[in-house]
Amino acid sequence: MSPREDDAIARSLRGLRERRIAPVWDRMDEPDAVLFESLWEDLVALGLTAIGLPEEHGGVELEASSLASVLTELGAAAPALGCALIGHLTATALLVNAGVPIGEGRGALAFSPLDARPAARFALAGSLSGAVRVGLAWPSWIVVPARRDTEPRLCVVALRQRGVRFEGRPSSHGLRLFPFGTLTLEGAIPSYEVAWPEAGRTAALADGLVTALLCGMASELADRAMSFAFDRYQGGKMIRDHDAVRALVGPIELARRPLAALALATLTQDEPGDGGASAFAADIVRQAGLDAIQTMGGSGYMQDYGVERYLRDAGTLETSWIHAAARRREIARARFAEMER
Amino acid sequence: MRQEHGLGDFDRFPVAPLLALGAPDVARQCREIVPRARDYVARHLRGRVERWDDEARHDHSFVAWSAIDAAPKYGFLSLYLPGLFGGGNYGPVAASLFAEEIASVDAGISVVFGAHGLALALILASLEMPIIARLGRAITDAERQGKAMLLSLAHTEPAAGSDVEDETDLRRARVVSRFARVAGGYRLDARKVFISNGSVARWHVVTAYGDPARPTETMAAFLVPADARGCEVGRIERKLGQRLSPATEILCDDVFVPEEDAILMPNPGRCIDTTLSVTRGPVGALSAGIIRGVLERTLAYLDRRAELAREQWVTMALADILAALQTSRAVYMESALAAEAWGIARSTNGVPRHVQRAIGRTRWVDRIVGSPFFSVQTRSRYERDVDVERLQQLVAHASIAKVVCSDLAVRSAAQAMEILGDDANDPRWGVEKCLRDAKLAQIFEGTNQINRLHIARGLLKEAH
Repeated sequence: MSPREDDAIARSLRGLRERRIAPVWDRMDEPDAVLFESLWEDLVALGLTAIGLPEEHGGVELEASSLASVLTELGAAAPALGCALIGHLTATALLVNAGVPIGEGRGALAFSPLDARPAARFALAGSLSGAVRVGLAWPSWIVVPARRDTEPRLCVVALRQRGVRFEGRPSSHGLRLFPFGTLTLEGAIPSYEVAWPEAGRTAALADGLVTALLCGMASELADRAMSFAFDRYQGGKMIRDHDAVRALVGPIELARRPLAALALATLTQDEPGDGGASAFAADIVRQAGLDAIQTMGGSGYMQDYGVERYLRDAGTLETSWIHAAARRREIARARFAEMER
Repeated sequence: MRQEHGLGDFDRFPVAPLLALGAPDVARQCREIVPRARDYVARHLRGRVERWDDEARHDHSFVAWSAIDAAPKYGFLSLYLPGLFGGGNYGPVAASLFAEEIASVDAGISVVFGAHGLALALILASLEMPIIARLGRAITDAERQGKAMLLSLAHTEPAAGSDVEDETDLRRARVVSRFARVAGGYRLDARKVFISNGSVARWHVVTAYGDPARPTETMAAFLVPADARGCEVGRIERKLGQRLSPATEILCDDVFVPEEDAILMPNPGRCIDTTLSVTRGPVGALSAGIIRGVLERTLAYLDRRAELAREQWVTMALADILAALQTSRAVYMESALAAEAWGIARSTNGVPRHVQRAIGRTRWVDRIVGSPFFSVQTRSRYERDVDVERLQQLVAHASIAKVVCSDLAVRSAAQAMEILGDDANDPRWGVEKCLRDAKLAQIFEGTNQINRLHIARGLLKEAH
């Protein structure tokens, strides 16, 4: 896809933000299935729910830069919607990788998309059993990692069936557009069950998409903090003329470019992803959220200025998907194992 | 949430035995206030604040009235009033322990009392004894009747936030609130924002300027009843955290204030600095309380997750949080001790408690101590006791406490969220609430950036 096409994607998403997201921005801080469905339909209409998938599977093949561009724009406009899209795209990519037909409607994962690898969260013996804590944006089907005896299996479970229970409630922190809770499977029958696919690029894809989303959040924080500082007066001069403020907004502004480059590099890498890019980006964006609020002082702390939500969203993304502390340790452990070999 | 760690015990402070020897009155205050605050917390806050926080998210005009209405029984609203005016006579050390104790369960409720204390501190700093005597009597009388007569300090303006927190910055602040002399009093026009206790205070202490172009020379404060004609609560803010401390606009449109309710400050800059010398330190203590809350909540969580608790990285993170708690306590205690030893408390609380008790509180005592003559005497004693340099040192101590402790609180809460992982978003654990609450401590009472400038300003002056 050419740079012109990238621009066209960015323009459509900015249009979506202006026309559809901005008017309901306040309502997007509460779980609302009806609102979510209407926003999802907008994504479907723009063809975004099939991006990155092979055309033979009904997908829209995009270059990495265009994929990054979509998620960066969504990260700036509505991180929670972006997360739901990443969950769906990762779930779909996993199915394609495993040779399973893609289901109708919206998909989700019973694990972090950054962990698109075998895991033993559910036991499979005819039917599925187990429980996991996840955030779910009212999907129609879920990819579940299971283990039959010792063999890792990938299962697809329809949400509306006997034996599937999701008790969700709003997160008390961020990503409040959809509920978080415990997904319990007791005797649930999978629609599909296959051997867990070879380590493909799905985890790297998810890592790149999450990094691009975080890049968009950083970008939005920089824009909001800088425009506030540009207009306000304090201590005998404009806020923008204070070193203390420049020291706060400088690193936020600086975060955009390396995070964009990191997202692109992760989306084009050959190795299976380890979630390292997202962990790195999450630390930066959480600090950017704190610093953007600090730049805006009391105003930044108030919901009306819209900045505090990005801090909360980054925090929830970090704790529920990225698990940065654990991931850093895991990356070091893997590197040591490699050295040993 | 479990308490057996004894994290809040006063006797865990290394300074406790020293205070018992060198300042027995202060040590006694500390031994009184901690269990009293703990009883209040156990009966009226614990197990409720997370639910209230959620209610306040949906209805930002929510007020935790049951917590506020319970306060008079504990004497929390007259803690810092000098004993001669019927107050508890508690000094900065006890005030800090009180702030920590309440904030360990909810920083917002701690701010409800803190904002009341802030307004009271400005009035005490003015050393206008007739007003202090009258207000003191009103607060303690209401308290005896079980009514919470809360105050708010309406000082911040839409275009002047941290600017109004410092004499030098105030000179260049774009303030708009003004007052004008009329027969029998003053007419007041003011627009104030982010006013803690704005919707629950019975009285607002509203600052305004005779000439907004010369704020430092013409600043004055006015006692305005919340139901005064022309005074109204404007927008109620929707906040990231500390939701149990309501913050609102206060609008005064041509409000008449009788002469006796006006505080025309002979030296507004000194009055601001005196106020900050006793109120910024407790923000540090409040932040220490948040760190304690983080630690207690995380330990309660780990009680249920034995496997996680055994992981080395979790142990390291817990050690960091405990170290943050100890560090912040050391720093705020240093500020409180400095304020106790050298601050305004010496001039206003100078009469020992047993003497105050012996004198009792009678109308003639009120008449004497509440006389303008007594104001002049006390003011000159305070100026003699605490010179400009000493006052700046005290403000620097307090600012350091505020900056160090609030930064540590944000960091500790973020670390704890990492430990909780997926469960960090579960409101039952309350750890993420601590992060939201801690963030405001880096902003109010002057942002940490402004505070750093003040700290370094004193340093550079000393270097020259």
